[in-house]
Amino acid sequence: VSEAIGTVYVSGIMGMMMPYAIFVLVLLFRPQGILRRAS
Amino acid sequence: VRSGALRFLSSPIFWLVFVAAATMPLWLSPYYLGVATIALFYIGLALAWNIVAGIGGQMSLGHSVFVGVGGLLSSALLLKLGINMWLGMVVAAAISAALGAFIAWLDFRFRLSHLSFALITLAFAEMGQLAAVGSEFLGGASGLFLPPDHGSLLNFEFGGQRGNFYLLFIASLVCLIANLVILNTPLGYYLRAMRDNENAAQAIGVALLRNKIIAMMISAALTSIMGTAYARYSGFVDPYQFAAPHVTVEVVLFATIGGLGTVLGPLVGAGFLVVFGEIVRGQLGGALPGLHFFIDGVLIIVVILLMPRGVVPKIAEWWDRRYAAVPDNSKIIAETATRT
Repeated sequence: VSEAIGTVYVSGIMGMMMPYAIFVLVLLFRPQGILRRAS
Repeated sequence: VRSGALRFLSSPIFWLVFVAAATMPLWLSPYYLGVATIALFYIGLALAWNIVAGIGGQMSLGHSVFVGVGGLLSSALLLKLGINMWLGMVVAAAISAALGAFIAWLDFRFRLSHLSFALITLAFAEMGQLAAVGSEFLGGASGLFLPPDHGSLLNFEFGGQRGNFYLLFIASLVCLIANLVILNTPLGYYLRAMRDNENAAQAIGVALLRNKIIAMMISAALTSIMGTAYARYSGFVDPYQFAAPHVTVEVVLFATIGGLGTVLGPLVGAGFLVVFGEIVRGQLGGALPGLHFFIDGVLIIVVILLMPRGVVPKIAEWWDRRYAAVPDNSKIIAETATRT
């Protein structure tokens, strides 16, 4: 979904990079996963 | 502390291999000299990666970004702005070192697990390739052709295949010496302590952030220099060849098969597998397309199953068992027995 939204709303290369950017942010700020509560 | 490095450098086997490698342009055909040059490129990359992953335990999968910066940026600076490639190489190495420092800082600041660190660096590698593909300055998807090599050293031209072989030979030798020096200085001990147990290392006073940043900066700068050297050899640079994540995957494979954390492991792993892969491709690639990949894969699986720590540690272990001098204590035991 993030890739689709990225390519629709953010043009070109930046849109293609969006899923990776989201992935990095999730790993940094929610390392347990989005739905899992941090211990 | 430095005796290990001196012992390695004073070994006759090292000098034998060194002389054989240095004289390769005199006795190898142009085809095999090309294979040897590619092998040197991967040896340098594997040794540079070994500083961070093998010695420091930070499994970076993003080193293709540094190869890309070294190859693409230095070439773009030369072609678009007319900046000498020597200077371009230094600028690219400095930018790679800064990027490496940022990645190491992220690792420290967010206390990343090994898996998270590997995944984040892989994401950076993907983003780096996409950024290079989308950048007009770096040549975009179609890449950049470097000007012909006229042999002018001042312009980073080395006079064809032989000269480029020596360029990559010296660059990979620098990576080898960097590994030797780091392994035999306090930085190497700190990195190994951090690799084995980060909390324990911090408890005994090892500065995690500083050492992680130093190791990553050295590794990134060396990787970038290898990228610039290979760009000069190749004469053509594009993001799919220089900034693609598969470059790092190959380097990880070579260093792991050879033996992580050792100096000889990445050297033997990359040297053997690149040459073996090229020879198998040359001999069998025409007969059955893809067969060389299959043989390569089977070899790698067999080595990993039989020698999980790598080829070099396994051979060293066997050598020690076979030839290590066992102290003769029988006289001392006999004397003690007569006294009592």
